[in-house]
Amino acid sequence: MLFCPANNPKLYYTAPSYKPDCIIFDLEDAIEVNEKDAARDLLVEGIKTLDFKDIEIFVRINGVTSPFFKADVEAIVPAGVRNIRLPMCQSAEDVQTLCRLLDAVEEEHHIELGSTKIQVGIETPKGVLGVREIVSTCERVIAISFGAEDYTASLGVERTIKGDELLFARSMIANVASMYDLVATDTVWSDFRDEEGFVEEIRRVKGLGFNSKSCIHPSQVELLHKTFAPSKEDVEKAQKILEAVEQAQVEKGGVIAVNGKMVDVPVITKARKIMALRQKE
Amino acid sequence: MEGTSGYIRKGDAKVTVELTGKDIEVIVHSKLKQMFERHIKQAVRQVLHEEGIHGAKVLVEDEGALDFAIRARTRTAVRRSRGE
Repeated sequence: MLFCPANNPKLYYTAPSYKPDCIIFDLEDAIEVNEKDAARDLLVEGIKTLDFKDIEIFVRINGVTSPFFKADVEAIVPAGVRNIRLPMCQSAEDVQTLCRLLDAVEEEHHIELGSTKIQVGIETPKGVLGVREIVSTCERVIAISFGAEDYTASLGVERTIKGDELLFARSMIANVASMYDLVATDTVWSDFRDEEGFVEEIRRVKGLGFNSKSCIHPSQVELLHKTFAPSKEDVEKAQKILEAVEQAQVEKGGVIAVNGKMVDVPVITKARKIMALRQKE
Repeated sequence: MEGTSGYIRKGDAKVTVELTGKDIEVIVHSKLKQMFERHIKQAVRQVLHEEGIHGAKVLVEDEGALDFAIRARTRTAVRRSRGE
Protein backbone atom coordinates (compact mmCIF):
# COMPACT_ATOMS: atom_id res chain seq x y z
CA MET A 1 0.00 0.00 0.00
CA LEU A 2 1.61 3.24 -1.13
CA PHE A 3 0.78 6.23 1.03
CA CYS A 4 -0.02 9.51 -0.73
CA PRO A 5 -0.99 12.72 1.06
CA ALA A 6 -4.38 13.56 -0.41
CA ASN A 7 -3.61 17.25 -0.85
CA ASN A 8 -0.98 16.98 -3.59
CA PRO A 9 -2.54 16.73 -7.07
CA LYS A 10 0.66 15.56 -8.75
CA LEU A 11 0.77 12.37 -6.68
CA TYR A 12 -2.62 11.26 -7.99
CA TYR A 13 -1.16 10.62 -11.43
CA THR A 14 2.47 9.81 -10.58
CA ALA A 15 1.79 7.22 -7.86
CA PRO A 16 0.11 4.71 -10.22
CA SER A 17 3.22 4.63 -12.42
CA TYR A 18 5.04 2.72 -9.63
CA LYS A 19 2.44 -0.07 -9.87
CA PRO A 20 1.53 -0.48 -6.21
CA ASP A 21 -1.22 -2.98 -5.44
CA CYS A 22 -3.00 -0.24 -3.48
CA ILE A 23 -2.74 3.51 -3.08
CA ILE A 24 -3.85 4.88 0.26
CA PHE A 25 -4.74 8.55 0.09
CA ASP A 26 -4.22 10.13 3.48
CA LEU A 27 -6.65 12.66 4.93
CA GLU A 28 -5.30 12.18 8.44
CA ASP A 29 -1.75 12.66 9.67
CA ALA A 30 -0.31 13.94 6.38
CA ILE A 31 -2.75 16.85 6.21
CA GLU A 32 -2.62 20.00 8.36
CA VAL A 33 -5.78 20.89 10.19
CA ASN A 34 -6.47 24.00 8.09
CA GLU A 35 -6.12 21.99 4.88
CA LYS A 36 -8.46 19.10 5.70
CA ASP A 37 -11.25 20.59 3.57
CA ALA A 38 -8.95 21.14 0.58
CA ALA A 39 -7.55 17.62 0.76
CA ARG A 40 -11.05 16.17 0.92
CA ASP A 41 -12.25 18.23 -2.06
CA LEU A 42 -9.21 17.22 -4.10
CA LEU A 43 -9.71 13.56 -3.26
CA VAL A 44 -13.38 13.69 -4.26
CA GLU A 45 -12.56 15.25 -7.63
CA GLY A 46 -9.66 12.89 -8.19
CA ILE A 47 -11.67 9.76 -7.43
CA LYS A 48 -14.53 10.90 -9.67
CA THR A 49 -12.26 11.76 -12.57
CA LEU A 50 -9.23 9.49 -12.66
CA ASP A 51 -9.10 5.84 -13.67
CA PHE A 52 -6.73 3.91 -11.42
CA LYS A 53 -7.29 0.68 -13.37
CA ASP A 54 -6.44 -2.37 -11.21
CA ILE A 55 -4.92 -0.41 -8.37
CA GLU A 56 -7.13 -0.58 -5.28
CA ILE A 57 -7.81 2.77 -3.70
CA PHE A 58 -7.97 3.17 0.06
CA VAL A 59 -8.48 6.35 2.04
CA ARG A 60 -7.24 6.90 5.56
CA ILE A 61 -9.94 9.11 7.01
CA ASN A 62 -9.72 11.04 10.23
CA GLY A 63 -10.55 9.06 13.36
CA VAL A 64 -14.01 8.66 14.88
CA THR A 65 -13.30 11.26 17.57
CA SER A 66 -12.07 13.81 15.03
CA PRO A 67 -14.29 16.74 13.93
CA PHE A 68 -13.52 15.76 10.32
CA PHE A 69 -14.64 12.12 10.54
CA LYS A 70 -18.25 12.52 9.40
CA ALA A 71 -17.45 15.01 6.61
CA ASP A 72 -14.75 12.69 5.28
CA VAL A 73 -17.07 9.70 4.97
CA GLU A 74 -20.02 11.71 3.64
CA ALA A 75 -17.83 13.16 0.88
CA ILE A 76 -15.66 10.26 -0.23
CA VAL A 77 -18.13 7.37 -0.32
CA PRO A 78 -20.56 9.01 -2.77
CA ALA A 79 -17.52 9.97 -4.87
CA GLY A 80 -16.66 6.30 -5.27
CA VAL A 81 -14.29 5.33 -2.46
CA ARG A 82 -14.98 1.75 -1.38
CA ASN A 83 -12.08 1.04 0.99
CA ILE A 84 -11.55 3.05 4.16
CA ARG A 85 -8.77 2.77 6.70
CA LEU A 86 -10.04 3.74 10.11
CA PRO A 87 -7.08 4.91 12.18
CA MET A 88 -6.60 4.44 15.93
CA CYS A 89 -9.20 1.70 16.39
CA GLN A 90 -9.33 0.88 20.05
CA SER A 91 -12.69 -0.79 20.47
CA ALA A 92 -15.50 -2.50 18.64
CA GLU A 93 -17.52 0.67 19.21
CA ASP A 94 -15.11 2.64 17.01
CA VAL A 95 -15.81 0.32 14.10
CA GLN A 96 -19.53 0.25 14.83
CA THR A 97 -19.61 4.05 14.64
CA LEU A 98 -18.10 3.93 11.17
CA CYS A 99 -20.35 1.05 10.12
CA ARG A 100 -23.49 2.94 11.13
CA LEU A 101 -22.38 6.01 9.21
CA LEU A 102 -21.57 3.91 6.15
CA ASP A 103 -24.99 2.25 6.32
CA ALA A 104 -26.63 5.66 6.29
CA VAL A 105 -24.47 7.13 3.52
CA GLU A 106 -24.83 4.08 1.27
CA GLU A 107 -28.59 4.07 1.71
CA GLU A 108 -28.90 7.81 1.04
CA HIS A 109 -26.87 7.58 -2.15
CA HIS A 110 -28.28 4.27 -3.40
CA ILE A 111 -24.92 2.54 -3.08
CA GLU A 112 -24.94 -1.23 -2.59
CA LEU A 113 -25.23 -1.77 1.16
CA GLY A 114 -22.07 -3.19 2.64
CA SER A 115 -19.95 -2.45 -0.41
CA THR A 116 -17.67 0.00 1.40
CA LYS A 117 -15.05 -2.01 3.24
CA ILE A 118 -12.96 -1.20 6.30
CA GLN A 119 -9.32 -1.70 7.13
CA VAL A 120 -8.96 -1.23 10.88
CA GLY A 121 -5.86 0.63 12.01
CA ILE A 122 -4.42 -0.86 15.20
CA GLU A 123 -2.00 1.62 16.73
CA THR A 124 -2.19 1.25 20.51
CA PRO A 125 -1.82 -1.48 23.13
CA LYS A 126 -5.56 -1.23 23.79
CA GLY A 127 -6.20 -1.77 20.10
CA VAL A 128 -3.85 -4.75 19.98
CA LEU A 129 -5.48 -6.43 22.96
CA GLY A 130 -8.96 -5.78 21.60
CA VAL A 131 -8.23 -6.58 17.95
CA ARG A 132 -10.32 -9.75 17.90
CA GLU A 133 -13.45 -7.94 19.09
CA ILE A 134 -12.67 -5.02 16.79
CA VAL A 135 -12.50 -7.04 13.59
CA SER A 136 -15.39 -9.37 14.37
CA THR A 137 -17.92 -6.64 15.08
CA CYS A 138 -18.70 -5.77 11.46
CA GLU A 139 -18.67 -7.71 8.19
CA ARG A 140 -17.22 -4.72 6.37
CA VAL A 141 -13.81 -5.34 7.98
CA ILE A 142 -11.46 -6.89 5.41
CA ALA A 143 -8.04 -6.01 6.73
CA ILE A 144 -5.97 -4.98 9.72
CA SER A 145 -3.14 -2.49 9.51
CA PHE A 146 -0.54 -2.04 12.21
CA GLY A 147 0.83 1.39 13.10
CA ALA A 148 4.09 1.10 15.02
CA GLU A 149 4.84 4.77 15.65
CA ASP A 150 1.75 5.47 17.76
CA TYR A 151 1.99 2.00 19.30
CA THR A 152 5.53 2.50 20.59
CA ALA A 153 4.69 6.01 21.71
CA SER A 154 1.81 4.60 23.77
CA LEU A 155 4.06 1.95 25.27
CA GLY A 156 6.72 4.52 26.01
CA VAL A 157 9.43 2.63 24.16
CA GLU A 158 11.73 3.40 21.28
CA ARG A 159 11.33 1.78 17.91
CA THR A 160 14.35 -0.34 17.08
CA ILE A 161 15.59 -1.80 13.82
CA LYS A 162 15.22 -5.33 15.13
CA GLY A 163 11.65 -4.66 16.26
CA ASP A 164 11.48 -6.84 19.39
CA GLU A 165 9.17 -4.25 20.93
CA LEU A 166 6.67 -4.90 18.13
CA LEU A 167 6.67 -8.69 18.24
CA PHE A 168 3.68 -9.16 20.50
CA ALA A 169 1.52 -6.70 18.56
CA ARG A 170 2.54 -8.11 15.19
CA SER A 171 1.91 -11.69 16.30
CA MET A 172 -1.48 -10.81 17.71
CA ILE A 173 -2.53 -9.01 14.53
CA ALA A 174 -1.23 -11.72 12.20
CA ASN A 175 -3.02 -14.46 14.14
CA VAL A 176 -6.33 -12.63 14.32
CA ALA A 177 -6.08 -11.76 10.62
CA SER A 178 -5.54 -15.41 9.81
CA MET A 179 -8.40 -16.49 12.05
CA TYR A 180 -10.85 -14.19 10.29
CA ASP A 181 -9.29 -14.49 6.82
CA LEU A 182 -8.29 -10.84 6.69
CA VAL A 183 -5.32 -9.11 5.10
CA ALA A 184 -2.63 -8.19 7.63
CA THR A 185 -0.78 -5.00 6.67
CA ASP A 186 2.40 -4.13 8.50
CA THR A 187 3.57 -0.67 9.48
CA VAL A 188 5.68 1.66 7.36
CA TRP A 189 9.47 1.57 7.22
CA SER A 190 10.32 5.25 7.53
CA ASP A 191 13.95 5.24 6.42
CA PHE A 192 13.34 4.68 2.73
CA ARG A 193 17.06 5.04 1.97
CA ASP A 194 17.83 1.96 4.06
CA GLU A 195 16.74 -0.68 1.54
CA GLU A 196 18.56 -3.50 3.29
CA GLY A 197 16.77 -2.81 6.55
CA PHE A 198 13.46 -2.59 4.69
CA VAL A 199 13.93 -5.97 3.01
CA GLU A 200 14.97 -7.53 6.31
CA GLU A 201 11.83 -6.21 7.98
CA ILE A 202 9.63 -7.51 5.17
CA ARG A 203 11.13 -11.00 5.59
CA ARG A 204 10.58 -10.79 9.33
CA VAL A 205 6.92 -9.83 9.15
CA LYS A 206 6.23 -12.23 6.29
CA GLY A 207 7.51 -14.94 8.58
CA LEU A 208 5.01 -13.85 11.22
CA GLY A 209 2.09 -14.09 8.83
CA PHE A 210 1.74 -10.60 7.37
CA ASN A 211 0.85 -10.47 3.69
CA SER A 212 0.93 -6.74 3.05
CA LYS A 213 2.91 -3.66 4.07
CA SER A 214 2.44 0.09 3.89
CA CYS A 215 5.04 2.08 1.95
CA ILE A 216 5.87 5.74 2.22
CA HIS A 217 8.10 6.04 -0.84
CA PRO A 218 7.73 4.72 -4.41
CA SER A 219 11.18 3.11 -4.25
CA GLN A 220 9.81 0.65 -1.70
CA VAL A 221 7.10 -0.77 -3.95
CA GLU A 222 9.27 -2.94 -6.19
CA LEU A 223 11.31 -4.22 -3.23
CA LEU A 224 8.13 -5.14 -1.45
CA HIS A 225 6.76 -7.05 -4.42
CA LYS A 226 10.00 -9.00 -4.87
CA THR A 227 10.36 -9.88 -1.20
CA PHE A 228 6.74 -10.84 -0.58
CA ALA A 229 6.51 -12.90 -3.76
CA PRO A 230 6.85 -16.67 -3.29
CA SER A 231 10.24 -18.05 -4.32
CA LYS A 232 10.69 -20.11 -7.47
CA GLU A 233 11.27 -23.17 -5.30
CA ASP A 234 8.07 -22.57 -3.31
CA VAL A 235 6.07 -22.25 -6.54
CA GLU A 236 7.52 -25.44 -8.04
CA LYS A 237 6.83 -27.34 -4.83
CA ALA A 238 3.26 -26.01 -4.69
CA GLN A 239 2.65 -27.00 -8.31
CA LYS A 240 3.82 -30.57 -7.64
CA ILE A 241 1.58 -30.84 -4.60
CA LEU A 242 -1.50 -29.62 -6.44
CA GLU A 243 -0.82 -31.94 -9.37
CA ALA A 244 -0.62 -34.88 -6.94
CA VAL A 245 -3.79 -33.75 -5.19
CA GLU A 246 -5.74 -33.90 -8.45
CA GLN A 247 -5.08 -37.63 -8.53
CA ALA A 248 -6.06 -38.26 -4.90
CA GLN A 249 -8.87 -37.33 -2.57
CA VAL A 250 -6.96 -35.53 0.16
CA GLU A 251 -9.73 -32.96 0.79
CA LYS A 252 -11.79 -35.76 2.29
CA GLY A 253 -9.20 -36.32 4.97
CA GLY A 254 -6.71 -38.50 3.25
CA VAL A 255 -2.94 -38.10 3.14
CA ILE A 256 -0.63 -38.53 0.19
CA ALA A 257 3.10 -38.41 -0.27
CA VAL A 258 4.94 -36.04 -2.59
CA ASN A 259 8.66 -36.56 -2.97
CA GLY A 260 8.57 -38.81 0.07
CA LYS A 261 6.96 -36.19 2.31
CA MET A 262 3.51 -36.28 3.88
CA VAL A 263 1.00 -33.93 2.30
CA ASP A 264 -2.30 -33.37 4.05
CA VAL A 265 -5.00 -30.66 3.95
CA PRO A 266 -3.02 -27.85 5.66
CA VAL A 267 -0.11 -28.34 3.26
CA ILE A 268 -2.49 -28.28 0.30
CA THR A 269 -4.12 -25.08 1.56
CA LYS A 270 -0.72 -23.46 1.80
CA ALA A 271 0.14 -24.62 -1.74
CA ARG A 272 -3.08 -23.07 -3.08
CA LYS A 273 -2.28 -19.77 -1.36
CA ILE A 274 1.18 -19.76 -2.93
CA MET A 275 -0.26 -20.34 -6.40
CA ALA A 276 -2.89 -17.63 -5.84
CA LEU A 277 -0.14 -15.19 -4.89
CA ARG A 278 1.87 -16.21 -7.92
CA GLN A 279 -1.07 -15.59 -10.23
CA LYS A 280 -1.50 -12.06 -8.84
CA GLU A 281 1.95 -11.01 -10.10
CA MET B 1 -15.27 37.84 1.28
CA GLU B 2 -12.29 36.07 -0.25
CA GLY B 3 -11.26 32.43 -0.17
CA THR B 4 -8.05 30.82 -1.42
CA SER B 5 -7.00 27.22 -1.97
CA GLY B 6 -4.07 25.39 -3.53
CA TYR B 7 -0.39 26.05 -3.91
CA ILE B 8 1.91 27.46 -6.53
CA ARG B 9 3.82 24.22 -7.18
CA LYS B 10 4.11 21.76 -10.05
CA GLY B 11 0.83 20.10 -10.87
CA ASP B 12 -1.21 22.41 -8.65
CA ALA B 13 -3.00 25.73 -8.88
CA LYS B 14 -3.68 28.48 -6.39
CA VAL B 15 -7.26 29.68 -6.79
CA THR B 16 -8.61 32.80 -5.14
CA VAL B 17 -12.33 33.52 -5.19
CA GLU B 18 -13.86 36.86 -4.26
CA LEU B 19 -17.63 36.83 -4.15
CA THR B 20 -19.13 39.89 -5.83
CA GLY B 21 -22.63 40.90 -6.77
CA LYS B 22 -21.67 41.25 -10.40
CA ASP B 23 -20.82 38.80 -13.19
CA ILE B 24 -18.27 36.00 -13.28
CA GLU B 25 -14.74 37.16 -14.08
CA VAL B 26 -11.95 34.59 -14.32
CA ILE B 27 -8.30 35.63 -14.66
CA VAL B 28 -5.72 32.98 -15.48
CA HIS B 29 -1.98 33.22 -14.92
CA SER B 30 -0.23 30.23 -16.46
CA LYS B 31 2.86 29.43 -18.51
CA LEU B 32 0.50 27.37 -20.65
CA LYS B 33 -2.12 30.08 -20.81
CA GLN B 34 -2.29 30.14 -24.56
CA MET B 35 -3.13 26.44 -24.72
CA PHE B 36 -5.22 25.97 -21.62
CA GLU B 37 -6.79 29.28 -20.61
CA ARG B 38 -10.16 28.43 -22.12
CA HIS B 39 -10.12 24.99 -20.55
CA ILE B 40 -9.21 26.33 -17.12
CA LYS B 41 -11.91 28.99 -17.29
CA GLN B 42 -14.45 26.34 -18.28
CA ALA B 43 -13.54 24.17 -15.29
CA VAL B 44 -13.81 27.15 -12.94
CA ARG B 45 -17.16 28.27 -14.35
CA GLN B 46 -18.54 24.75 -14.07
CA VAL B 47 -17.77 24.63 -10.35
CA LEU B 48 -19.18 28.12 -9.79
CA HIS B 49 -22.36 27.02 -11.49
CA GLU B 50 -22.55 23.86 -9.35
CA GLU B 51 -22.07 25.96 -6.23
CA GLY B 52 -24.78 28.41 -7.29
CA ILE B 53 -22.39 31.35 -7.63
CA HIS B 54 -23.47 34.08 -10.07
CA GLY B 55 -21.07 36.85 -9.17
CA ALA B 56 -17.39 36.30 -8.46
CA LYS B 57 -13.88 37.35 -9.39
CA VAL B 58 -11.59 34.35 -9.64
CA LEU B 59 -7.81 34.37 -9.98
CA VAL B 60 -6.17 31.12 -11.05
CA GLU B 61 -2.39 30.88 -10.69
CA ASP B 62 -1.78 27.67 -12.54
CA GLU B 63 1.32 25.48 -12.49
CA GLY B 64 0.13 22.74 -14.84
CA ALA B 65 -2.80 21.52 -12.79
CA LEU B 66 -5.14 18.97 -14.36
CA ASP B 67 -8.88 19.59 -14.53
CA PHE B 68 -9.68 17.73 -11.34
CA ALA B 69 -7.25 19.89 -9.38
CA ILE B 70 -8.60 23.14 -10.86
CA ARG B 71 -12.13 22.07 -9.96
CA ALA B 72 -11.18 20.98 -6.45
CA ARG B 73 -9.22 24.14 -5.67
CA THR B 74 -12.06 26.30 -7.01
CA ARG B 75 -14.61 24.46 -4.90
CA THR B 76 -12.56 24.79 -1.73
CA ALA B 77 -11.90 28.49 -2.43
CA VAL B 78 -15.65 29.09 -2.92
CA ARG B 79 -16.47 27.38 0.36
CA ARG B 80 -13.78 29.32 2.18
CA SER B 81 -15.05 32.58 0.69
CA ARG B 82 -18.42 31.73 2.17
CA GLY B 83 -16.83 31.06 5.53
CA GLU B 84 -17.66 27.34 5.43
